[in-house]
Amino acid sequence: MPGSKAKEIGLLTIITIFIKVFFVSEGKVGRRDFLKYLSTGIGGLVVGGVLGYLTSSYTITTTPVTEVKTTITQTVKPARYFEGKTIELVVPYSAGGGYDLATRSLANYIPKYVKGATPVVINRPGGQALLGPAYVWSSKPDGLTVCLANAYGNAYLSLTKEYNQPFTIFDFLPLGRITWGQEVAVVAKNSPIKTVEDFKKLGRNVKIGATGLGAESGIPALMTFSLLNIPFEMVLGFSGSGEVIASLMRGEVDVYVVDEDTAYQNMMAGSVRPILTVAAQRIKQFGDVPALGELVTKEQLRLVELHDNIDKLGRLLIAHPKTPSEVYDAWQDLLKDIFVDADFIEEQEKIRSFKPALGDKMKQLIKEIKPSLSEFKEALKKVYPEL
Amino acid sequence: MVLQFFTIDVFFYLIVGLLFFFIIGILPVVGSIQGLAILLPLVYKLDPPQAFALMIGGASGMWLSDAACSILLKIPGSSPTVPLTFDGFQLTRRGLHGYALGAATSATILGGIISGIITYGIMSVLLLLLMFLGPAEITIIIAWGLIASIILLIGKEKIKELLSAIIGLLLSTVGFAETAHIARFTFGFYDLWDGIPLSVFFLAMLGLPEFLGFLVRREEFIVDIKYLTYVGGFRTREFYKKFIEGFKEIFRSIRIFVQAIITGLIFGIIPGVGTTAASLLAYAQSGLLTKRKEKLGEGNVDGVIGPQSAIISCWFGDFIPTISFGIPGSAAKALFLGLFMMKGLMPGPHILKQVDLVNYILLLVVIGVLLGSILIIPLLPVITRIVTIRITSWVPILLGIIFIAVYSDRSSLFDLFLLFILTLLGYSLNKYGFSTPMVAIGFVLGGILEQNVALTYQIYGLSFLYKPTSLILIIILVAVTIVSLRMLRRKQIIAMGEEDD
Repeated sequence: MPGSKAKEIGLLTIITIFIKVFFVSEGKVGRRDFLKYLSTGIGGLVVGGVLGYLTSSYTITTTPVTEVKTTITQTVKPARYFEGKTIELVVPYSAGGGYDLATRSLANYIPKYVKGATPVVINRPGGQALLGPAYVWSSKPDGLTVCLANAYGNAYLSLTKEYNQPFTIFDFLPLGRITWGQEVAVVAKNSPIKTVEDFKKLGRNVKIGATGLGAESGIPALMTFSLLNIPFEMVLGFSGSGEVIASLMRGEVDVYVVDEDTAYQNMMAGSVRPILTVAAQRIKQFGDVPALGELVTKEQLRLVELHDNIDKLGRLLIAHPKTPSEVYDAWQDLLKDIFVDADFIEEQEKIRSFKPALGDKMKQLIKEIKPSLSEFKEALKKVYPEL
Repeated sequence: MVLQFFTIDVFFYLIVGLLFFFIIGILPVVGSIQGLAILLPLVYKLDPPQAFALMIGGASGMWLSDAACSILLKIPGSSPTVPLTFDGFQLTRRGLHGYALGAATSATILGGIISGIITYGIMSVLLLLLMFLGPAEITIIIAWGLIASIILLIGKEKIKELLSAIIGLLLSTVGFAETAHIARFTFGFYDLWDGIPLSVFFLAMLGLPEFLGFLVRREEFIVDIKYLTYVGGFRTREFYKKFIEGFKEIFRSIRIFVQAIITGLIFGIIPGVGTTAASLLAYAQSGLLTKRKEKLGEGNVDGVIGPQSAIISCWFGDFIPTISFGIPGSAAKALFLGLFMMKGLMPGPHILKQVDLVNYILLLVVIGVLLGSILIIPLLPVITRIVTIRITSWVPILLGIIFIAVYSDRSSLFDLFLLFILTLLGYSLNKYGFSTPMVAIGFVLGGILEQNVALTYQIYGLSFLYKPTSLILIIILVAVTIVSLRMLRRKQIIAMGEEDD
């Protein structure tokens, strides 16, 4: 891990100073002594921080990074590159959620196919799931630090004005996808709204509940209601999908655009009813629920299909963009074995529907998405200038 | 029958879970979420009853060890136990830690039994509350809680304490505001987009400044010299005498206990509010209803009974929307939701028809709370020895544990920097007579208040005040406040009269 030893030195310096000071001084710490030791502690942190910066590659955008040399030969199974190495699997959310479970499940299967590989799961929540990818961006480009990113969420977030990271999700090297899903617009089970047309009959703005504009529930909802020419207003700031659904049930908001798995679970729980699939085509498990693609013009369909492609990024395993091609091949070799393991599939299905794809397919998808992103953003900004 | 689930191996996993969460609880900063996250990947191969016993039963038993950490060290074992640091720690400083722990134990045990009975008996009625209590109602309740807390805790330095609450409110605005879609006071750091982490904030405002103050003033934890002589010869019998005294106090504070149970249950049912807000609100209510001489914040045992009862009942209340609708009432219940789905259980109204399963889960929670509390009682004299040991001997080790716990939460060195800076702020505020408990109250309640005000305004505008539920709530809360303040005032007049005599 870049700079990790330096960070550890900084930490240990502080702890050692405190222990030594208080054991030696036996509690006789006056105001001057306290300031002295405080400044020594700060000094330790600064030294650790400086060493950390010197040994890491934070400013990757302009500084060329030394290529990592590997010793993989053609005759050896590529995945053997990971033997004896520690692989950091970064989760951009707190422990216990879907991303965390999926990553830990993946971590359990790596040693099965590569003896001597040591996967370590690191939770790096915060920054609206951007701190995880940022961690990979600033790591050594040896392919041993990867992140299961919320790729479609990060993609939507990068369209908003507050986004100022030196990277977007499209800049990373995609190793493989665990799952993806589309969005479904749901209403409360006992809502008077039965079809999309009923929204227009409300005679007022449709209230759309969402956690945030840059979230998966924000931009797809914006796109849907603007394409359908239905006046709407966003109700932003809910902490999570549970709160939005509770608000739906109380009649405070009219509709919520949510991922298909959450929509299905809540539909089965009897709290919501799906009304529209936010996609070019219908989703099988929702039966007769119409798709947005059926209700828009041919021109507008392009935008819906672009949105579908962004959704297909799903939960994407990403590595540093300068990862050597041999290491990329090692990952493909490893994931190819894991993705067809029956036990792994069963575990993933319990978390979320398993819809895997390897790196080459994801590279092709990103190639298709990138040129049309600015057009997508401009189309959304026309409807929602605050974006 | 429910009893079919309780096999020998289920009890084995329950005991293992209780022991694991006992350690989690006693560690500062580390809470149920971290413990559950560690266990979740390990339960893949277990049968559902075993997995539930390990996780649900085990996590239910950690609240007393959590409380012990807060009462003894003024470092919250987890965020919900923050209010216990206000009065619980003051009792510890007077050598009454056994008394405080006794009160916390009775609140935990009785709270667990009563909450279990209520949840079991009227679950479907409690569910209806989910339909009536939305952002508008939460705004009114939290605003009342904030004002009540300020009125109750404000002491001689009125301006400084009011400013402290305002500082807390300001600190709660740090982060990305979804409603305005701007980042506030993040200074370009993405680590601050989700706001100041609760664990870092409480350590920096409440725990560490207190330690630094002791070290600078060359004080020990316990100020009463009589109890300092226990070093090296801790008297267990004396401890349990005080413990039993504290245990019985709940029967003198039944109103506070009942009020806290109701508050906790309601806050547990409503998603997104959290146990920390419930315990802070219960703390404010304790201040209004207390009949004791001491003021809240000066070692009033009602400041322990109220919040601890609310924490336990909130833990039960959280389960209701989680099981019935798959809407987790808190972050810990979101993990339980993951557990249910991992074991093939789809939450929903249909689950309530599986009576045995629902009863099994509820019974597990009750047994977990009771067993977890009973098992820790013999260990309390050992744990409490820490406050009789010279502070310079164990503070460095505690600091090491704190740094590692803070770093490991988000694997972020930035959190350590933040802890450092905020500790300096907390220490300065303490030193110059500001009230860090007020800052904490402003921070926690301010964040929830802002979120709900924003949602209420987007949904209703100002017409939320005319909603029937809002009007009823305002009338009830104003009436309760007026009656309680009059009682408080009468108590103060009687106390002044006694002093004159």
